[in-house]
Amino acid sequence: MDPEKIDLMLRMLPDGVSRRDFLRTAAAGAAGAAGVLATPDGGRAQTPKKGGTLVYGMEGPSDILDPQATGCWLTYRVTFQMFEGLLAEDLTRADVAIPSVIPRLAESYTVAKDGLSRTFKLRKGVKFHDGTPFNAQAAVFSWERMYKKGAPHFYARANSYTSYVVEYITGAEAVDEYTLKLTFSKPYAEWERMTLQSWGEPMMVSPTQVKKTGNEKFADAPIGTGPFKFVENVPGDRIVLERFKEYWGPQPNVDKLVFRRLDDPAARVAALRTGEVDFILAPPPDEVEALGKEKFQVLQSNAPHIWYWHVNMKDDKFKDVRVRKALQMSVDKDRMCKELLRGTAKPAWSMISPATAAYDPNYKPYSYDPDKAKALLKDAGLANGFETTFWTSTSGSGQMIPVPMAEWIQRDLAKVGIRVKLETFDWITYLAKMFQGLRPGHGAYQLSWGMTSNFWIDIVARSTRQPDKGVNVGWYANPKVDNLLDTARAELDDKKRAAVYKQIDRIIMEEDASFFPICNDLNLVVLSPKVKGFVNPPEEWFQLWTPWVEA
Amino acid sequence: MPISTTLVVKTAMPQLRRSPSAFAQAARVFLRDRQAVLGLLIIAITAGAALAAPLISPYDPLTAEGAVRLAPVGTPGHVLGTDEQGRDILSRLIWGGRTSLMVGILPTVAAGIVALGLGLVAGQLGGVVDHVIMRVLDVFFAFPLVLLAIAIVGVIGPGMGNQMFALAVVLVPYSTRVVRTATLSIKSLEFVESARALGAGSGRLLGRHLLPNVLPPLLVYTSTLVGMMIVASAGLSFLGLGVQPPTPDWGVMVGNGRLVLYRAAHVATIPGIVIVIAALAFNFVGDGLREALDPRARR
Repeated sequence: MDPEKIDLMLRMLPDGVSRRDFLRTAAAGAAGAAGVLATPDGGRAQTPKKGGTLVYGMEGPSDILDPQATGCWLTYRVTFQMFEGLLAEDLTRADVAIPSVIPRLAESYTVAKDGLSRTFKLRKGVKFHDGTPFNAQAAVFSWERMYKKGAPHFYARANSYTSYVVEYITGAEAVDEYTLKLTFSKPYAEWERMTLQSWGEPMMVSPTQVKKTGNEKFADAPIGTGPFKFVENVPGDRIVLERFKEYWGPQPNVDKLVFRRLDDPAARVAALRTGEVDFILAPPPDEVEALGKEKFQVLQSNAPHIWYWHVNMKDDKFKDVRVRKALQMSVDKDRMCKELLRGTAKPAWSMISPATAAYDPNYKPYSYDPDKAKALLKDAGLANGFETTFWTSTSGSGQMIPVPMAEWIQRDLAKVGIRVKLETFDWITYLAKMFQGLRPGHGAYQLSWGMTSNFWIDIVARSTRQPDKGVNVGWYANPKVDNLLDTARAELDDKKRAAVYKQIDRIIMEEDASFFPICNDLNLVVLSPKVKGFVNPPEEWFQLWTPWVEA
Repeated sequence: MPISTTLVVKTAMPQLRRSPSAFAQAARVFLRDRQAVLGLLIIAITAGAALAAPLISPYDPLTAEGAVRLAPVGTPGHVLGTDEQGRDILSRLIWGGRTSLMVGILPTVAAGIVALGLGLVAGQLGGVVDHVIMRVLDVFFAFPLVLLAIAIVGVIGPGMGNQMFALAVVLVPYSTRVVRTATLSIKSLEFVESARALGAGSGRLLGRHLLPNVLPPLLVYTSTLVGMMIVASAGLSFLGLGVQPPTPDWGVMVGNGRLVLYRAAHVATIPGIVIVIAALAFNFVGDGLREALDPRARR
């Protein structure tokens, strides 16, 4: 490992981890490769226990279980255990800054020099849960289901969800039984990473099952190649999976996975305390310290998670860049992370997600400076401040504790004269509002997400992705940014591409101040003391084949 | 949320309204009832505190300091402690009384007025009119109360005014049933029959005989709904449909406090206790009213 990479990782690691701790974890990781697993409790090697049930208290509902036709972190936490793509992110390691891309159903692949085709050597001896062999024909079937309008098994919903993956695909061809070739109309450098995101998951589905159930009903009896297979889905209550005994790779440790829906953070913690569930995510920040003292294991990671506001570029007040810059300096993010969020998040100053190549944890274009903010407002002719409305949700995927956070921000903004009226909505209504975009008078719309691909900034900031064609809720449009996004998309060199994305972020944050990032969630996972071998990777989901449950 | 609409209608004597001492009599019965007086006292104190909030509240309910988040009960300067934002809980309770009492009382009163009209007309006219009114209201009964309120606010948009409107709408069917039942039973009593025999018209019957006798059961029923509405409005606010942050409201305070329940239980439990006490007070007053307006109890 080169020193630069180690250094980057050290900077990415959670606060309070020393270089020595890091090296110890790295050594344990190496031991893991030798067949013993690194455990969260100090890297002590333990022998996994086989069998038993692992119960996850899930913080919201999963969408339908058809990976190609769905999208959200919660869903991916389920489908990731059942389905596999050609490539995968290695989520068995927590000691990396960015999850590495590894071959999964492909053994290897090559990219043509012009970037217009990719050829995959597929893994042999892989079977779907229904016994159907996985080969190039099966792969072509899955790809055609997503991209090929007019194919008999084409599924419009899958096409729409996977659009960021399939939009430039022009062909999927079985060269021989175990060779697949995909052709593209344009070079698309972040394609690999984009196949690994939760919004439209291009994972391989059993052609036999799709033909039997039809596209829409496939979600009720989903069949993939992953280490766990589907047992039942009781919507709103639980999803049950069990170990797939004929899995091509190493067998999972537990026999059964249960995903129990527990929306309310307080109820989730209560269920963990009573032993009803084995682990939860997103505990209320104020509970974390107590949980740690009660022997629960608390793991955190630098997930690609930004909690931020889209600022309305069409609003009378926020049209003025001075007002937007004043906004950036008006919230004491350090205090908010320390006091309200109890250290479960870090202040964010950039629209580049952590766990990506372009992320720089030391980049800090602004600092908390209410006096300077007031001066900027005065320059903009708003010496007496102004009133505006911000939108947020009452809960939702990755939203942390949106209302207390928004109230905290509201109070800080009032100090410089930005008097915010908050309007809160339940999550589903809130998402619908997103596709309408912000109206004049509405200053900002809050969201909370990110990706391990820097292409994410393309999704939130490109001018062509304004509502209702995308999630550019604040109507941001800068031709310079659009051009650079084009450059980045076609740049196949990883380092150069990261530099372009960095440049884009600098324009967004410094010239335009068009987004208002608040914090990066540290993605807390709280585990019962009897759960071992759980890895909290720098990602928004996780694999459940390495954990086991002690008796 | 089930609401019992089976209410024993105890009718007042016809001379109730005419007799000059009727009110005094009722007041005497009411004042003899210690529970009722206690209830009235609690309501008076709460309402008084809410009205005098700008004068007596020790802090601004919206201003907070993160440094004193979740201060426990008895902290110097913050008698009841501070909430998850570092706001003074006592101040928020005092100010929150304004919103909570308003969302508790206004919808029930508004629903009561509408119900009075609908129930009297349905009960008195009977026949097709009765059928139409009651069958339309039956449709409302098909939905759980809070769910229906959510649907209405979902359509007309969030906010405190809309929330109160929605709560009023969902209460109308329940209150109307009470009024109609009372109207039907009073209508068949001898004094109404004799008034009609003496040539009293429909208007006179309604105004002079039915209305005064239908009011007491409605009043009693309405008083029991206030506490429930405070809780229901908390539910709506929890979904982002009601009172918007950072406006203080007892129900919202409980909702926000649940996130810190283990670490700082007082944040949720204190406003919870206040809601319970306020709801009890309204119920006590309701019970007292029933006794006071019941001619049999007076003897």
